[in-house]
Amino acid sequence: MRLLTCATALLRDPVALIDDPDPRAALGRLAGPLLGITALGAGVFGAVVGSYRGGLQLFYAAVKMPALLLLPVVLSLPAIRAFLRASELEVSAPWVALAALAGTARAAILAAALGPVLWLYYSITPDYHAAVMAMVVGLGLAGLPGIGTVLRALPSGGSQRWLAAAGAAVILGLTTAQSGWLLRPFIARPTAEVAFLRPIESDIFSGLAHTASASVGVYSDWEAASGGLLYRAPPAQERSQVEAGTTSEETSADWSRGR
Amino acid sequence: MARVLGADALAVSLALLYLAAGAGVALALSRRGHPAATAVSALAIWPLLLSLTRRGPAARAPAGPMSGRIAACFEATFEALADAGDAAPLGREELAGLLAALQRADARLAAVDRLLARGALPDSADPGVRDSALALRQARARSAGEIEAVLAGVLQLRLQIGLLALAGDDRAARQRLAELRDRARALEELTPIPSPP
Repeated sequence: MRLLTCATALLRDPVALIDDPDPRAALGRLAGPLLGITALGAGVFGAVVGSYRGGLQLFYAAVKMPALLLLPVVLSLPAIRAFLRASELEVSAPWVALAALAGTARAAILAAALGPVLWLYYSITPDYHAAVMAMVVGLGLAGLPGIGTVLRALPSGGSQRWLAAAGAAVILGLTTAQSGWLLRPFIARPTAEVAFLRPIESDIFSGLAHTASASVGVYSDWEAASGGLLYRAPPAQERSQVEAGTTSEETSADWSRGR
Repeated sequence: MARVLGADALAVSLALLYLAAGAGVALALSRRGHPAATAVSALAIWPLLLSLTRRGPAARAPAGPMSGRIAACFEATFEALADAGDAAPLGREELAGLLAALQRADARLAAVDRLLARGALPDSADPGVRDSALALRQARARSAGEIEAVLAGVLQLRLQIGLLALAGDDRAARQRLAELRDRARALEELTPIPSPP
């Protein structure tokens, strides 16, 4: 019941939730419900994303998606607060934490709301890249209102607020991108292996550069490593088909690249 | 470091360290009287909640209309606990959480009193405003009554601590404390103001 009350407040008037005269007390009171909402909302979205591959990946993605939303916030909050204070916006640590949690929880609710749409789209089995793009777009659509909530709740005054906001957005964007890279795979190809986490390697920029060049037909030597935490190889039949070259060109390339 | 341990081992070690730090923060929050959900949340997001451990909410809560009575009641109970020594059925920190909850409720009473005293709710011809103001006063009275009831319960608890020295059974005192905690938790819940008809 308390979760529902909190979720309603987040959707109707999130700024009022953040704009508490005693942010420390409010953070102590609301941290649990906000984290619960984030876990539930992002978990639903993650399960939908994982449904593209199905099976164990559905569960893995549901567990990792809340971490994808929360990890960047935890990592980048001190830097964001420093940006705000540099712009003469006096915000306390509890206020920043409360605002970040509220923004994240709102994004998680909206992501869950987008879940059925994404699920419907995945049910027509789109191309892998299209599925990834749909997930990214969904997360962006859900995340922007969350960031907007925090920006609207910022206290008035200060100088060069836009610079602080832009700096905070860049830091949050970079940490989110790299967190997503570290926590991958969220979407696995139907014939790929399943792993909870891929091996730690390279960074998001290497992956993006490879994908960008591959999209125009230029393939580099870089390949994502296979294996990882809780790794499970694909069924032997599919593997033998791939190795024998009896499947489509794309599937064969996918397997040889360990995707 | 990664070459010595291996990437996976390093990642697992860091994760365990993170969880251990989270458990420490969760324990600190629990001792300061924060809700259990907040303390459990610290396991996952302790860097966000670290600021709550620096100063207890009880010390920060502004004084309300019943702060004097609350302080006197708990001071006497803390003394009774100290007198009981090793035979005390509960620790000082267990009562501290209850004290913090009461002080927060008292601070909310103060906020409502300020709102009413400043004339922020003037006598209005609008029946909706009148009904809302009446509902606010009724909610304030209910909250004050609950605080009174908890204070009476703390007094009973103090007597039970004294009886414990003779009877040696701490179940009644623990049961009383559990009841008081439930009432204090109810005070933390937001009571919705009924909408005007």
